[in-house]
Amino acid sequence: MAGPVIVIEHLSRNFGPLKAVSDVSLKVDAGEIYALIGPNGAGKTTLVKMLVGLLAPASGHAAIAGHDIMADPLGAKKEFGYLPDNPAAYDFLTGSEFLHLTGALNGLPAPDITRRVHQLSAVFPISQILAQRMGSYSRGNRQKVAFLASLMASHRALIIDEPVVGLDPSSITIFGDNLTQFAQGGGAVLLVTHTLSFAQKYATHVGVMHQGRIVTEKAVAGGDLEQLYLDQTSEK
Amino acid sequence: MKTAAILRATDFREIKSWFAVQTGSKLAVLAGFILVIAGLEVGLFSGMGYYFRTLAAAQDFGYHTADYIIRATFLVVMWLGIGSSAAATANLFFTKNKNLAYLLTLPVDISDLVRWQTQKTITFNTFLLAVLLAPLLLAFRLTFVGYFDLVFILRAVLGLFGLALVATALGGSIGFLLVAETGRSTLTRSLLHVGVFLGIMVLIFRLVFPPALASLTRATPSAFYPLYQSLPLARSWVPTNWLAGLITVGTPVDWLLSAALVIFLLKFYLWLECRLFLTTYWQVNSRPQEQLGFIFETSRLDFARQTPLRALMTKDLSAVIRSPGEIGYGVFLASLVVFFFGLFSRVSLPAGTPLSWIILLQVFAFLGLVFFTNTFLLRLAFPDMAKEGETAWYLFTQPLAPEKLWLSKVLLAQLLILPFLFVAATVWLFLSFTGRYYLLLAGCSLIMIIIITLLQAFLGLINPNFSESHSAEKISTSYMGLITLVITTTLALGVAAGLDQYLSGNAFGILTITGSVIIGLVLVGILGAVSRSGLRRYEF
Ligand SMILES: Nc1ncnc2c1ncn2[C@@H]1O[C@H](COP(=O)(O)OP(=O)(O)OP(=O)(O)O)[C@@H](O)[C@H]1O
Ligand SMILES: [Mg+2]
Repeated sequence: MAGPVIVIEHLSRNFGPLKAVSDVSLKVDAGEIYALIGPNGAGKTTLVKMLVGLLAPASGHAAIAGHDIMADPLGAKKEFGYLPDNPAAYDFLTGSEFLHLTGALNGLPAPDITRRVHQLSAVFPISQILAQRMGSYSRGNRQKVAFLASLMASHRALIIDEPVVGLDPSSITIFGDNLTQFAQGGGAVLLVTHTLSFAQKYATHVGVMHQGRIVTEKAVAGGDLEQLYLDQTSEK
Repeated sequence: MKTAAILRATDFREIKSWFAVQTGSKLAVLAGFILVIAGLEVGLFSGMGYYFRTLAAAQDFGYHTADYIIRATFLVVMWLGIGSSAAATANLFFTKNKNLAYLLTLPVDISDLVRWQTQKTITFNTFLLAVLLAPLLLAFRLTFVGYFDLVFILRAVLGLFGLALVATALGGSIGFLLVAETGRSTLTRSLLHVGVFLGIMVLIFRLVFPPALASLTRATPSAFYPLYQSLPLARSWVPTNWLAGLITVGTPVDWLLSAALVIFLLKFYLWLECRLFLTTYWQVNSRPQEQLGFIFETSRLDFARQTPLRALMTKDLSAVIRSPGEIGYGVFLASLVVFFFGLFSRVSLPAGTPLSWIILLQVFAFLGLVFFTNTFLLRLAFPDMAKEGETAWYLFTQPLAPEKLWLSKVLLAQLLILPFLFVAATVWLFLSFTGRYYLLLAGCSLIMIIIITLLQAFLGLINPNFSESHSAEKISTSYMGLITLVITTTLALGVAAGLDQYLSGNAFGILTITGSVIIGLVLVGILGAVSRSGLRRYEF
């Protein structure tokens, strides 16, 4: 199972004259949790959107479990779960219906879907909320259900943009533990976050992005993320 | 006073910024749109003019019949206006509206907000009525008076303004009551609302076509006038008659009564709105979401057992069915269809009716069918992809081939239009003027409806307005919506022209019809391919 699951090679993208992402490469191996940090507007979301196929890169490649996102999008999309920052949902569906829908769209057999929804309902203490329309959800609960949806099918990668803003403290712990569990099961996690304490606690690797580039990458163990962040992103 | 001015300025800026990008193509589409409308207007004008001239030949009888038509039109238009403005008011509360939510947090006097909204609606509705009724009113004036001048135009504008105002005020008030009502909505209650709307429709129908009307056509000149006087719509107590009077004869009493009616209703409506606006807003927003749906609210969707394609369609269908706004729109349109064809099925043709008159009815019924299909689709099928704007992160990262997504949206449009196909296949059997042309008329209607449905689905997938994903109304009135309207209407007019030619005995008409259908099919092919491959190029 070892070897890189998420591979980004020389990815670039500009919006008009603005170089939002320029020549970024990174790898996330199975079992790793890679935290991408960096100031607002650094290009983190743009990078992630290219990785999941929501934006076309100007140049470069990205692949998940060996499937190039542009050449073989279907193969790639079978291999990752994705969670954007502040995910909007289908307001007219209940949370439970949303999870079932995700199972069906991933082509899972009915008994598997039922079993999986049952398992996931216990991850956060929200089984009551799952019976309500998502239009009435609080931001945090919407995030939790969207996270559960990204776990519906068995993926090899999780790609998450700003997961913990808006979650209550105990939910953050549950969230982090689930990421660790996912990685220990042989998955790769790429997460973008501003919450350095979260990255410090759960990530195995960290990359700092600044003005469209990754300026440094290292293993998390032992280092002080806050100092690293400030060193790498201060304007000199 | 100042607030209202700022709000108005913001509206103008919105329009200006809409034109700022892709100005050229937007102007071109707008010009095309105006051209199509103008074509329809000229057609209607000459049709009505022709009819009025045949009436004018019959002296007094003719004038009164024409007057009656205008009164009936005012009454019917008023009822439809009330219905649509009730729906619009209810919609304002039921759909997520970030602008409104933001405005309500500002220190803005609620009466300013209300006045601004009301001004906008009434101006827009007056304009709409003017476009809708101008051919009729001009034809009437030119036939029976012979000229029109500034004074007449002013009177017409005032009359239409009054009509718009009464419809807006009454409809808006009903809308408020409905919103308050649906808090305790159940299936039976919703059906009751629909029932009441249709019931009043039938009542108006009886008012416009009382049994006495039939005997009128056979009356001798001396018996005519008393009979005419006894018709409900000839009475002076019918409020829409006062407004119609402003345009036709305009006695001082009409002016006085119209003014009193308009002022009273406007005051009442503003008062009601100022009082109820905030409380209604709070009420709706503090209600559990489950209660907002009209129908099928307790049904559980079983996605687990569905193929991806079926699951996608179920999801999209429930987006329509679980939304009060969409259901309301569907019901409103359905009642229009019932009314329109109910009206037409009552037409009986005495022997000796001129052929051109019969053809006019046939072509008009065809255009009516196409028109209803088109407006239905434009609101319920066309926005289907644009509505995914905020959920694109989800939909487009699921392992689904774009072709499957494309197919699901196209099939959904066909599914939604099934009731219209049924109507198109059967309604001609009940119309006295179908004659021996059932196959031709039903065939043309069916083919055009299918072509238009495909075109609407495809065009909805090309360059969707993802940024307005919350408002189906805004999506359907956007730039691509106008293009869709222009293309589909032009095709339908082509077939209508062909029908007109063929039915008048010109065999060349078959070529015109076939030609239009072929152009439609070619467009279906091209736009189908473009929309299908375009799905891969969306960015979010
Ligand atoms: N669709 C777009 N059109 C134009 N500019 C864009 C677009 N999307 C992003 N940008 C610009 O690209 C740059 C990078 O944005 P991005 O969202 O990737 O930053 P980020 O690192 O995710 O920031 P944050 O921490 O605030 O989420 C920003 O300057 C942003 O304004
Ligand atoms: Mg971001």
